[in-house]
Amino acid sequence: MATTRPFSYNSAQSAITGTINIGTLCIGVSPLAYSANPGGLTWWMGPDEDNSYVIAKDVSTTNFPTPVGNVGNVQFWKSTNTDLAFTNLVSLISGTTQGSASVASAWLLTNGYWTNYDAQAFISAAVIVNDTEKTAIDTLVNGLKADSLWAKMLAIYPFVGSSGATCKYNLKNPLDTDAAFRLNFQGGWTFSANGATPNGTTAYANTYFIPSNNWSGGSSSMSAYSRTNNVETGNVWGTRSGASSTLFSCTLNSTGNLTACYHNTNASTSLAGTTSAVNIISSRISTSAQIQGINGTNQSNASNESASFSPNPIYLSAINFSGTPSGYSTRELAFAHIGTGLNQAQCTSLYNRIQTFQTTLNRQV
Amino acid sequence: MIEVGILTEEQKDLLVGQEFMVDVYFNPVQDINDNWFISVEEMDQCVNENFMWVKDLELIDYEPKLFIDTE
Repeated sequence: MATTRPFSYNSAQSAITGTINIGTLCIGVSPLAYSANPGGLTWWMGPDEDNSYVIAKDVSTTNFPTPVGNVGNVQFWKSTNTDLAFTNLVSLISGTTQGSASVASAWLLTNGYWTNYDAQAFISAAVIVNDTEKTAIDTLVNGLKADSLWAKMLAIYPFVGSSGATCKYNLKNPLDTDAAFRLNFQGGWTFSANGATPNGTTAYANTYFIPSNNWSGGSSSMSAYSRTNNVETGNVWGTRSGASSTLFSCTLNSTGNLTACYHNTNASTSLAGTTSAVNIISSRISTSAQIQGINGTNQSNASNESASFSPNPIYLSAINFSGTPSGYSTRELAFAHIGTGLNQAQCTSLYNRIQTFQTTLNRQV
Repeated sequence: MIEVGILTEEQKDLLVGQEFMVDVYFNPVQDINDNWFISVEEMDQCVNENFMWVKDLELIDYEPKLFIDTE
C-alpha cells in the first residue's frame, strides 16, 4: 500500500487542526477529509514515499501544471532512497552542488522546501520496523521543522528500536561514525521500547560531542528525558576538564527534589521539583544567563559562562571527568538532544514536541 | 546490595574495547579496593562467543570508588 500525505499552499500560515505549517507549505498530519478543503485550502496528495525520498514546495502563483489544469499550488520531486540520488536531486533543484545529503537537506529547509529525507534516513539507518515508532519519528521531525527548532539541533537521540544498535543513532545525522555524534554505549545498559536504562555502576554513552570544538560562547543547549523518579547523585549528562570552570553537567534530585545543571561554569542555580521523572533542558543564549526548564516550565537566571569549555566529549548517564567516566546514573533515558542556544519559548516548544513524541510511543511521564 | 563480577588484571585487559552484544561494549571499572569488575548486566547479556566466560565470574558486593574533585 502506498504511503502518501497531503500538501497545500497556506499563504496566511493559518493554524489548521491536523496539519502543520513549514513556512507557507501546509502538510496534513491527521486523517482529515482533505477533499473537503479543510482550512479553505486546496489540497494535493504527494507522491508515494515508499522506498523514496520526496521533496515538496508550495507554488504561490497556484498555476503549477496538474492533470486537471494549471491550478497546482504545490510542486513535488522524488528520488530513490539513496543519499546520492537525494543529493543529486537537490543539486538540480538548487542549481548548486550539494556536498552531502545532510547539507542538501539543510538547504531545502532554509529555502522553504519540505522533505521526508531526514526521518526516512534515520529509520533506514537504525532499521526501525515498528510502524508506531516510524510515525513518531516522522511527526517529531516535521514538528521540529515547523517550530524552527530543527536547525538548532546538532544531535538528537530518540532512543527507539529497543537495542543498542538502534538507540545509538543521531536523528540529525544518522551515520555510524563518531564524527556524526553516534552514541557509543559502554557497560551495563538495558534497552526496551521505553528507552535505554544504565545500571549506575559501569554504563555510560559517549556522544563524541566536544563542547570546546562545537559550541561558541552564549549559544548552547542540551536536554534529556528521564523516565525514572528517584534520588541519586548520578549525572544525566556531563563533561569537564581538570578545571571545574569547564563543568557541563546535570543531576536530578541529587539532594532531595533539586535539579542542578552546570552549563560551562562551576556555579548553578537549582530548580525545585516533586519528581525526577521529567524532561530537563539547559540552555544559554548569552554568556551571562542560563535557562533551565522542567517539562516546558522555564526560568532564566544570572550565570556567567566560562571562557573555555570542556575539551572532552559529553557523556550521557555519567560525567566525563578529564577522560574518565564517573558519577554513573540509573535513569532510564527516552530522549536527549544537544544543540545551539534556545530561548524560553523555544525550550517550551521543544518540550511539547518531545512530549508528543513520547505520548505517541506510550512512554510519557 | 548490588553485586558485580570481579576480574583479574589480565581479564580486564581482554575485555576493554570489546562488544558483549551488538554496539554495546564492556566497561571494566575499579571499585574502592581497586578490584576490576564488570556489572551483572554485562555478564548476563553477553552474547559474544569469545567472552562467554564472563558469565562464570565470581560475584562480589559493589563498593564504589569515592569521587574526588581535584580542583
